[in-house]
Amino acid sequence: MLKILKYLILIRFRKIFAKDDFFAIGLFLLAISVLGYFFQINYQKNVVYLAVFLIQIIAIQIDRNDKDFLILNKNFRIILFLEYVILSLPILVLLVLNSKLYYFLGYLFSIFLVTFINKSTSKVFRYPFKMFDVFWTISFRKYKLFLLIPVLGFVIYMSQKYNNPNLQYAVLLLLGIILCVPTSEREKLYFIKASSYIGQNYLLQQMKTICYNSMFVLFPIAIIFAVLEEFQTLFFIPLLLLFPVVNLLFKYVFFDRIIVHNIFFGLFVGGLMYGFPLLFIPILYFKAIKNLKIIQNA
Amino acid sequence: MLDIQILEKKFGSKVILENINLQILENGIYGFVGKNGQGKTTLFKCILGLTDYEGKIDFNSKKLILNQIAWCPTEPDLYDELTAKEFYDFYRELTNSKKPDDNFLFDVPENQLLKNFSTGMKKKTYLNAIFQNEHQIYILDEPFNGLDLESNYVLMNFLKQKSQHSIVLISSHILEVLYANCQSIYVVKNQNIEKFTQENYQLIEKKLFDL
Repeated sequence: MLKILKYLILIRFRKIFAKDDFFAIGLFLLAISVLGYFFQINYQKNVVYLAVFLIQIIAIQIDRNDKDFLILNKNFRIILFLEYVILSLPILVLLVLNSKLYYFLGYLFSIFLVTFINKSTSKVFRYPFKMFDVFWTISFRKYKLFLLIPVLGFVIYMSQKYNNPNLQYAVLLLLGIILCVPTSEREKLYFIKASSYIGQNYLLQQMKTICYNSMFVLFPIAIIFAVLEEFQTLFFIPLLLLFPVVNLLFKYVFFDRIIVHNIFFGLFVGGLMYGFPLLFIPILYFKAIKNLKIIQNA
Repeated sequence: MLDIQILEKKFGSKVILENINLQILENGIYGFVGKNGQGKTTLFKCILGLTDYEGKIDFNSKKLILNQIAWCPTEPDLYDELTAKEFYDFYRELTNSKKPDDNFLFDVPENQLLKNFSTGMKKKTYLNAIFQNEHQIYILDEPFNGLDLESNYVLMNFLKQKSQHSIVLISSHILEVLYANCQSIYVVKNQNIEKFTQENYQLIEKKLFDL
């Protein structure tokens, strides 16, 4: 059993470090220690972020494809549990150092429960998104973006509890980034050409899809803001739609140049506080339509 | 009528197709044969507008656009992170198809990710998706590759039905299937295309293999 455990850990870290690269391993351990030290100094402030470890463990369990082999060993659940304990050592040490026995036991119990997640519970989840832009489903599935929504909800709660509005702005920023992930992906050229929607109609259809799909991300967060009576921040939520829509326009303006697209979008967002980038939206809109027509040979 | 006039198609300095003048006047199944690298797929891509070329291709005297055509490449490039069902929905939304058609030509597991599918299963999924709509032209590049015997039989029968109302262009290396089902066969060789009608099918192999 210990041999299997050793190899599982070895495989996991071999993906990051080359064999016998003790320098890189040393740097990694050093980085973990320094991070741990800073977490320890600001323990009370940062303890919520440690929940990220648990999310990571869940993601590993859902993603792992060696369950069929491991199940052949009668102790496979203990092996998985011990592997997750080793991967969670930094947080467990911190909890012990701070004498948080209940958190410590709660964490161990949680990762034990995680070992029960199997294929039947991790079957392909059907997202409610409109499929005109497939990258909503693909991005949420591939990057497990849905896991961020309860985390963001928790951060909003903490922001209110500790009276820290900056956390709410961080949530808005992260929401904007989440909404931009699908619109940053490029569809296969053939599918743009094969669409019955040409030029402007294609673009408008994409925009409608953004508005519809964004609701599934924004609505739960908006409810949390409303319940916590954070109406000032709630007001900004619809404005977040601007980010994926503008990102979409930039995508079609610079369809073949991903880096240029990202640079210009970054400049656009950076300049938003001055307002003037908004003046470029009509130009982007017409340029995007023109490029779409070229792609579609229309 | 499908009117294909390609003055020249080249990749870099290499000419792939030259002085192609081909008219398909009526509905039916038309075969395209040729050795690897002779330009069958390139010809299809020209028709589809997926590659640049010198010349023009019209359908019923109008510029041909891709959404009039059902196109199946040899190895369809799908979005692997979708399930088959999601891919059907995507294609239906993309092509604004109103028909909620659940009677698909091929049976595939609808709720599994496409990345877990074999080549044949992916092809079946893709064909199911494009066959959700009625098209005036069907272009299938080596459609029988990767499909099992039964699926080939089912597909050929389906294409025969479609050919009553549409133009069906297929490329294949299986001459017997083309002989049995095609109205005429075009041999793509040395940058050129030569048409063979049913009475002349016995000459195709001579042309292909320089016999």
